[in-house]
Amino acid sequence: MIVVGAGHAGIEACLAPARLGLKTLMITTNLDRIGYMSCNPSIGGLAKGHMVREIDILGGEMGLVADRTCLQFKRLNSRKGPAVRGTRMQSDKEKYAREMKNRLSSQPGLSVMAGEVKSLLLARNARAALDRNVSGLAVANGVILQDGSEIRARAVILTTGTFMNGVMHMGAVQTPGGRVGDQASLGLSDQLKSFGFEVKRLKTGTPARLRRGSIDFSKTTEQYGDPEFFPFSMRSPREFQLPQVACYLSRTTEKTHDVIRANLHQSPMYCGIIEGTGPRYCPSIEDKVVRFADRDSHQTFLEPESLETDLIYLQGISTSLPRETQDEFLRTIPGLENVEVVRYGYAVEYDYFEPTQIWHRLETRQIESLFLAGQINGTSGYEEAAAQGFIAGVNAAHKILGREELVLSRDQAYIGVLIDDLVTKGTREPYRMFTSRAEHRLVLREDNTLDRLGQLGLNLGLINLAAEAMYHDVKDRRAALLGKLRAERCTPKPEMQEKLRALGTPALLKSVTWEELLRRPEVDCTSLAQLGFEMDSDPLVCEPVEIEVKYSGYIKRQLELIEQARKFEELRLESDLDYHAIRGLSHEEREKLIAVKPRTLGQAQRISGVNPSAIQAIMIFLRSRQNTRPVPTGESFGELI
Amino acid sequence: MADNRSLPREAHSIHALATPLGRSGVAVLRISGPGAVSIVRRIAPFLPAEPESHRVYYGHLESLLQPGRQVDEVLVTPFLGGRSFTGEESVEISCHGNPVIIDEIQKELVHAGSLPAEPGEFTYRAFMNGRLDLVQAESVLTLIESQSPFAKANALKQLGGVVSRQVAAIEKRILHTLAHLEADIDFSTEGLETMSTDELMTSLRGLSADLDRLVVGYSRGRVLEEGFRVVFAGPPNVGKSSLLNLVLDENRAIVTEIAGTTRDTIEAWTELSGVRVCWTDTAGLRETQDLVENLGIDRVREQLRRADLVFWVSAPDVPVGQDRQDLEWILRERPEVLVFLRNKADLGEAPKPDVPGSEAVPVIQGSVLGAGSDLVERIRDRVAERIAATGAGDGVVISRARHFEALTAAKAAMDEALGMARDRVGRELLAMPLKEALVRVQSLLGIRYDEQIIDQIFKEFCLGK
Repeated sequence: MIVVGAGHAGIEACLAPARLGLKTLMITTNLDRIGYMSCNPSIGGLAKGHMVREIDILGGEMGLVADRTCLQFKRLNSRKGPAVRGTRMQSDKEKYAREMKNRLSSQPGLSVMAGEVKSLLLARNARAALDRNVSGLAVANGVILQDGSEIRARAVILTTGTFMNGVMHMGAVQTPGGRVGDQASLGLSDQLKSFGFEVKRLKTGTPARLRRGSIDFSKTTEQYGDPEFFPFSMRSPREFQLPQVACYLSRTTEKTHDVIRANLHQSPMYCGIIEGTGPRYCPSIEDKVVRFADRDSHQTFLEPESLETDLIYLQGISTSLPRETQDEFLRTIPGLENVEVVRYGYAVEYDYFEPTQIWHRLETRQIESLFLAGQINGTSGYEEAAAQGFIAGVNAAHKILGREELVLSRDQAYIGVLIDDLVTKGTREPYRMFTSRAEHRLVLREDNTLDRLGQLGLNLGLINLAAEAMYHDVKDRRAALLGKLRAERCTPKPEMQEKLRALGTPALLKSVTWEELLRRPEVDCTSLAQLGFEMDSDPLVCEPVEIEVKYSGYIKRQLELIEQARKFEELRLESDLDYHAIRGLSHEEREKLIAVKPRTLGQAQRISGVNPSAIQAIMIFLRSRQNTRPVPTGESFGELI
Repeated sequence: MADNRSLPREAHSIHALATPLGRSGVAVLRISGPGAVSIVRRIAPFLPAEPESHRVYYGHLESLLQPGRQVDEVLVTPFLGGRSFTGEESVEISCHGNPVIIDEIQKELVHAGSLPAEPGEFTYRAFMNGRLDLVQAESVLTLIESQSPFAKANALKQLGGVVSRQVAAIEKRILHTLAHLEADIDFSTEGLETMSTDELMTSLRGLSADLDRLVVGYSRGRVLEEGFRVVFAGPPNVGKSSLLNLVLDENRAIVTEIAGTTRDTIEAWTELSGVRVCWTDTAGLRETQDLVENLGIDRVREQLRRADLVFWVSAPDVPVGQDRQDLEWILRERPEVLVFLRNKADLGEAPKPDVPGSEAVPVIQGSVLGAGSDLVERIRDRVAERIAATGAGDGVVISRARHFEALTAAKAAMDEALGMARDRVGRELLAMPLKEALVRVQSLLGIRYDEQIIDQIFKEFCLGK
C-alpha cells in the first residue's frame, strides 16, 4: 500500500493498514513536516472534538498524540447541553509532529520515504467490463516518482492536502507551493483530470506567526484552559503531560481596519488574482473588514505554538496582504505595537476533486484502488482530514484483505455525516464540520462515543487487549450504575428532606428511584452522592449515565426518528441502477442520481434537487421488479475480488 | 415530532374524498394508514374501542376544533388487518354530500392527526402493499411525471400571493432565529452577539402568534365557508358569457356546475387560492326578463348585493344603456367590490361611464377573443388578491387542508419550542422543534431543507477562526 502525503490524513491512512499487517509505504516531499500543524496549533473544537474521539475509539492516533502534547485544554459549550460540548486542545505543535513521526517510524510494516510522486501507475481494469459494480476503467497499482522510478502497490491513497497545484499568495507575489518552504506537487492532478475527474480550486489562508518576546502581553487579556483534564482517548493518562499555558486575547482597532481598507487593492482576494473559494466560517481579516464594515473591532487570540519555540499564532487574522501592510496593521493591535513577524500570513489556492466522485469508502469511482482523503476532497481542518485518512486506510486495507467495507452511518458518527455529506452533496467551499450538520445531534455525543463505536472499533482490530479490557470495564460500570439508579429508591425521611432543601430542590412527596431524582434540573451525580447514594464518581462512568437519564425523553425521541428513517437508509440501491429506466424522474433528478449513485434510498433523498416524488418513483420501480431480481443487501469487497 | 423531515409518509395516515366533489346525496371520505381507526375515533367517539372490520357504525362526528359542536351525522366503516383497498388499516366515513361539510370533516381529520393525501397516494400505497399490479400503478407514475417539474410552482400558486408572502416572511424569521441558536452552539467561542433568552422568547412568541393567526384564519374564514362570489355585470353583448366560459374552461378539472335558485341564473363554482369561487353571469337574468323587467332588476341587484367582487364589463362597440342604473346603484352602495373590465380593448377605447365616483374604480382591460390575451389571468389575479384581502380582516384565510396541516404542525412545534425556552431548556434541544417548524413552513413554500440554517449563519455573523 502506498500513502502519498504525511499530513493528518496521511498518518491515519498508513497507520491503520500497517497495523492490519499490510506492508505500507508513506511518501512525502518533506520528512520534517510529518504531522505538521500548518495552521492553528490546536486539535478538536465543536463537532471536531467529537470526530477526534470517534477516530480514537476506532483505533486512530490523533487523539492519543493530542492528549500527550496538550498545552491548554478546554471543554467548549460546557454550560450548554451535553450533546454540543466539544473538546479542544491546544497542542505543542513541535512535540505533536515529533511524536507522530516517532510513532510512524516505530510502526512495524510501515516505511516512510522522501520523494515526490509525479503520477500514478495505472493498469486497464479488466473486470470493469464484466462487473459494473467495479469502479472505473483503470486500476491504480503504484506510483511513479519524480526521478522516474516506479513503486508498485495494491492500493494508493492520496492525501496531498493543499499541495496539488498549490499557489501561495502574499500581495501581488505568487509562489508555487502548498505551504511556506514546501514545493507544490504538479502533474498528478493533470493525470487524474485526463481520467475525467472534475478538479476545482479552493482557497484557504493562514495568519502571521509572531515573536513572543516582541509582544506586550500586559495589553491583552490572559486566558487559561480548564483545570480538569478529560483526554480525547480513554487510552491516555488522565493527567496533563505538559505544563499548561495561557492564551492572550486582544482586538483589532479602528486603525487596523483603516490600514486594511487603504490597502485592499493589494489583496489578491480583492484584485481578482485568487479564483478559489475560501471558507465562509474562516474569512481573512480583509474579508471581515469589508463584509462587516459596521464592526469596529474583531477579537483575536494570541496562541503559543510550542514550549520549544517562541512563536505565537495570531488566531482569526489570516491575511494575504503584502508584508509591509501586514507589519503596519498588526502594529495597530494592542500589545503588538512593536511586534516582530517571524512568518507572514498568506493565502493558498489548491486543487481539490469534487467529492461526489468517490464512494463512501473513499475509493474513487473512476480509478479502482485509488483512495482520496483530506483536503483533496474539499475539506478543511486536521480532524476532518484525519477522519477521512482513517476511513480510507481501513477501506484500502480491507479491500486488499477481502474484508467488508467500513462505512459509518449518519446516526452513528460525525465521521458518517462528514463523508455522506461530501459524497452526496459535494462541496463548494472548504468543508468543515458543525454540530448543526448532524440531524441526530443528540445521540452523537462525545460522552457516548464508546457506546456508539466501541464494539466496531474492537472488531476492526486496531485496539490492543489492555484497551479492550478497559472498554468493557467502563461499559459494565455504566450499566451497573444505571441499573442501580433505577433499582434503588430514595425515601422521604426527615434528614433526606432537609438535604434536598439544602440542594435547592423540592422535598419528596413519596419515595422515588434515584433515577427519577436525577431527572430534576437542580440535581446531578455529585448531589446524589451527597444525598447518600453510592456513586461511581469516575466521570467516564457517571457523566454519560447522568446525561442519558436527564435527556432520556429527547434522546428517545431522536432514536425513534432514527428508527423510522432507517427504513429508507436500509433500502440499498445498486451502483449500476439504471436511472434511465425509471419513469417519473425529471431530467435534473436523473442526472444527479447518476452522478452521485446513492447507496441507499435515504442518501438519494438527501441529494439537493431530488424531490420526494422521485423517491416515490424509485420505490415503485424497485417494487415492480422485485419479483424478477432481488436487491442486494450488502456490498463487500469479498464479492469484488 | 421534531425534525421528522426524513419520516416516510407511509408512517402517517392519509385521507381524501373518494366520491366526486360537489353536492350529492352521500359523500365518502377514505382514511388509510397506521392508526387510521384511532384517528377517526377522536372525532367519532361512538366507535367502540375494538371495532369489527367491515361493519358499519352509525353516529355523529364531534368537532375537535370547536368542542361541543356536532359536524355531521355519518356512517363509519373500519377495514382492519390490511383487508382494504390500500392494504393498510382504513376507515370510510359516509357523510352528507355537501362541500362545506366535507371540507369541515377534512379539517377535523387533519386536527385528529391525518394528512391530506397527495394525488395518487392511495393508489401508490395500494401498489406498495401489493394490492395492485404495475399496470394499475402506471396511473400513479403518470401523476408523478406530470407533477414533479411543477411541484414548486404549484406549491406557490396554491398559496396565493398574500398568504405566500406572509408564510415566506415567517420562514425568514424562523431561519433567523435558528441561525442565532445554531451560531450560539457552533461558534460559541467567537464572541458573537446572539439572541438573549428574552429576545428568543419574544421571537418565538411572535412566530407562534402569527402562525396562529394563519391557522385561525383558516378555520373561521367566511369566504371559505360560503365561497367567494364573483359577478360579471354590464350591458348585453360586451362578452360576459365568453369571459365566464373562458374562466371556467381553464379550470375545467375542478369546475362543478350547480343550478342556481332560478333556472336563468348562470352560476358555476371553481376553486382558486384554495377557496371555492362562485362565478355568476348576470346576462341570463336581464336578457330573458323582458316581460318582467322589475323582477330582473331585483335579481341583478340581489347578485350585486351578495357579490364579493363585481366585474363591470364594457366594450367599445357597446354603449352604456339601461344598465346604468345598476352601475349607479353599485357605485353608491358597494363601490369597494367594483372593478371595471374593459373588454375588446383591441377594438378601441370603451366609452367612459359618466357616473359619479367611477374615476376611483380600478380598471383592467384586454380582449377575451384576442389571441394570447392574458385577460383571464388578470381576472384570476384580481380575484385571488381580493380573496386574500377578505381574509385579512381577521387573519389571512388559509384554505387548502394541506396548508392547514402544515401550519398547524408548525404552530404546534413553535409552541413546543416556546415552552422549552420558558423552561430554560438547552438551545440544542430547542432547535429541534424549531427546525421542524421550519421544515413544515418550507414544505408550504415548496422549498426543501438544504443547509439554509448554515447559510443564514454565514450571512448574519462575522466569524473567523
